[in-house]
Amino acid sequence: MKYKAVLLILAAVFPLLSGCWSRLEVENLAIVAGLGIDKTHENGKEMYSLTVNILRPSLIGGATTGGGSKGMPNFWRVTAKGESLADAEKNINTRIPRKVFYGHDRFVIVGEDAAKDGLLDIIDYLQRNTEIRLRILMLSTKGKAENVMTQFPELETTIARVIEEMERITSKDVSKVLIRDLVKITDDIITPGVDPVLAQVIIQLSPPTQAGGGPIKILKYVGGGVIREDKLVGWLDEIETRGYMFAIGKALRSAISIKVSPGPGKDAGIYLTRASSNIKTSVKGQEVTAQIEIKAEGELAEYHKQDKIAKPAGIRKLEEGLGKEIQQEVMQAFKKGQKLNADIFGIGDNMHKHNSKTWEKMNKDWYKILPNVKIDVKVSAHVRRTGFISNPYIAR
Amino acid sequence: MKALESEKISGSQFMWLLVATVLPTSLLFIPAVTIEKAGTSAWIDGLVVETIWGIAVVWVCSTLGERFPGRSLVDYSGDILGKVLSKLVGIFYIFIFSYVNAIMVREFGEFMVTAFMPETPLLVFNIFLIGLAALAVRNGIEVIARMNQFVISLMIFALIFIFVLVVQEAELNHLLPFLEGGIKPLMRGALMPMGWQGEVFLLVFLLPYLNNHREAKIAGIKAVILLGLALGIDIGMVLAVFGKAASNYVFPVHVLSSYISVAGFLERVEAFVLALWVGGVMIKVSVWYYCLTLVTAQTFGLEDNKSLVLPLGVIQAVWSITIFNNFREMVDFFVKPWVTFSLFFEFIVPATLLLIAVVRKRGGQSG
Repeated sequence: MKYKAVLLILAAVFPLLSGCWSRLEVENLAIVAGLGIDKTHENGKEMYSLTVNILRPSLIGGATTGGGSKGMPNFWRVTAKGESLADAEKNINTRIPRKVFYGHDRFVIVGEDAAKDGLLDIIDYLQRNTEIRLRILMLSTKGKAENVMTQFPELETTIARVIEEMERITSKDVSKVLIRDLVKITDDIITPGVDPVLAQVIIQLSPPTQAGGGPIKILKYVGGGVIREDKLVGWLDEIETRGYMFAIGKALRSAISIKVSPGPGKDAGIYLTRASSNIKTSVKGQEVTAQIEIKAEGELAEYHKQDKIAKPAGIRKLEEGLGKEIQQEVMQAFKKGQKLNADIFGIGDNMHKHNSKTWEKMNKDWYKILPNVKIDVKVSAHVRRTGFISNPYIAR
Repeated sequence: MKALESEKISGSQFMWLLVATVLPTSLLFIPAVTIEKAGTSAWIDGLVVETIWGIAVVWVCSTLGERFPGRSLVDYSGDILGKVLSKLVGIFYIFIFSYVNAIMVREFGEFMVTAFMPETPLLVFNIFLIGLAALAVRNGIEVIARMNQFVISLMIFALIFIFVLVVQEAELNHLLPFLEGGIKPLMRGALMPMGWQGEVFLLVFLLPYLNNHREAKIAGIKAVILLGLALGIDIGMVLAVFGKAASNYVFPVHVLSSYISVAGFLERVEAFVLALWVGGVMIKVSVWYYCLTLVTAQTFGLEDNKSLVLPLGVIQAVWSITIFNNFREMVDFFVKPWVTFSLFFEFIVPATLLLIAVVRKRGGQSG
């Protein structure tokens, strides 16, 4: 009897061993590497359009051939429309014979129109989705996101990888673009007194490299889009973006052209090696002043005049020029922010954190106070080295 | 009832059992609620307020237990209140244990469905969890305590693993302003986790199994300090990484572990974290389940609690499904009624018993 009972239990267990419950085989998955979100108006109705770059795994791996054989892209771009993003997401399935999987998505590009309408609905969708990661990079573009996602990767295997590596390596070497992930952007949007800047990507056409070939589409970062509350209100150019990064202490390495002696044009270049910043706010009556102290360190990269620069006095001249240049860039960025009435430096947030009593009074009409906020930028710039040569060469 | 009390656990096992009865689900659910109410100072709630409250609960419960060494609560409340009322206390705790345990099973099931396996029915997780716990309960408290020593070490390792790897993302700026809005939001944020920290009241039921009942107070306080530390770091970390957005995440710690990215390749470790978590929740449910069968046996004067495991398990499994209609209902329960509800069975009932025992001079060395 007992023997039979054991046998019965064993038999009942077998169906459970057949495999996982809701498993997905890799060959039945369509892996999404990138997302693009646009908004359009059709017949008076607001429509979201979702563009996904789906990897073709069979064409990835031959990295040296530039992915793909015979000009066949190693990704497939699919666009679908819907009245909500979730609807658009499911509508993609009407064109794809596989289960679309968003877990490996690396970035999301928000088109201009969608960003102008507000980012919160997009962020809500992205964060609520249990497949999409919080680490995806959030980017903006002028025009439609759909158009950016056609770029054919040159050096890396996929466009997602290009964007990811640019965030990890290149952007830190140039400091002309600040690429941030979904979490950081969300945090800036929901925190009072600070407005985020979304890195901007564009497609540029460059002349063909092969005879008979068409122009090549190049993916490029250019500055960033300023978000006020949650809406795109304007763009920072590259220099403004660097000023912005200096002010918030995110500038790392860069090359800065400076002016040392009178006359037109810049005459020296400095490699920035490190920089940091510290913002302090003070309030007198209704007047808010932000003291921004920036410490920058660099080394001489090039020098165009023929005087003996490799002396302490010459170095001091370079440091002065560097300080002035950084100060100008920061001011320029701040003025742009003020013009758009967006607190990109996070001055309000800084006041909130270190001076919360005064902030309570200003919190409500911060955007009215912001245009009158003054900043006082102090830069202590240091040039530590002059590279492998000391004084410039002189022709005789 | 002699057979029931022949088992013995050591002081450190006792301490880790208490840690395991609170830690697994509290880390998962508390940060979001506390951060919503207390804002940037929520971590103080975890680190300080909860610890003080926990010590208070431990003091009351262990003082009560120490007055009647080796006897169970249902037994000695007969001395304190009289036979009839003591049965009422027993029935009350039968209800509490089955109710709260059903909620905890549900919590775990909801977590699994939301975060990992959206297509699997909730019932599957609940039944598996209760089934595992039932096995543990049948084997007795000694087995649970020993298994716990292994599982809790893995859990603490998992926690340290998450916090260390994610520390590079933390921005201490997010913890400012310090004590915004004064002490009021801080206290409001502390209410719900107080009920959680108060779950250490279980020590009054586990005390008869302790080798040396004098160790109870120290072990309990050690457990509470550990819990406060873990919770404080947990809340602080979630805040520092996500800022105020953290209050919007349903399971902040899970999100935290999924946010880990070290050197571009050590990513997506949440499944590993989950595997350890399942073990922790299983211990937690086992301890509550064990106490449930224990109190039931004691109240109705049964010789053994093993025969109760199956029927009570079925009741809990069904209850865990029907108890809430949806996930937010559960969260709403924790934010609103749970506070007074938990205060009542965790603190007021033991404290009243202690008070009456002192007044009527029952138990203790003198009595």
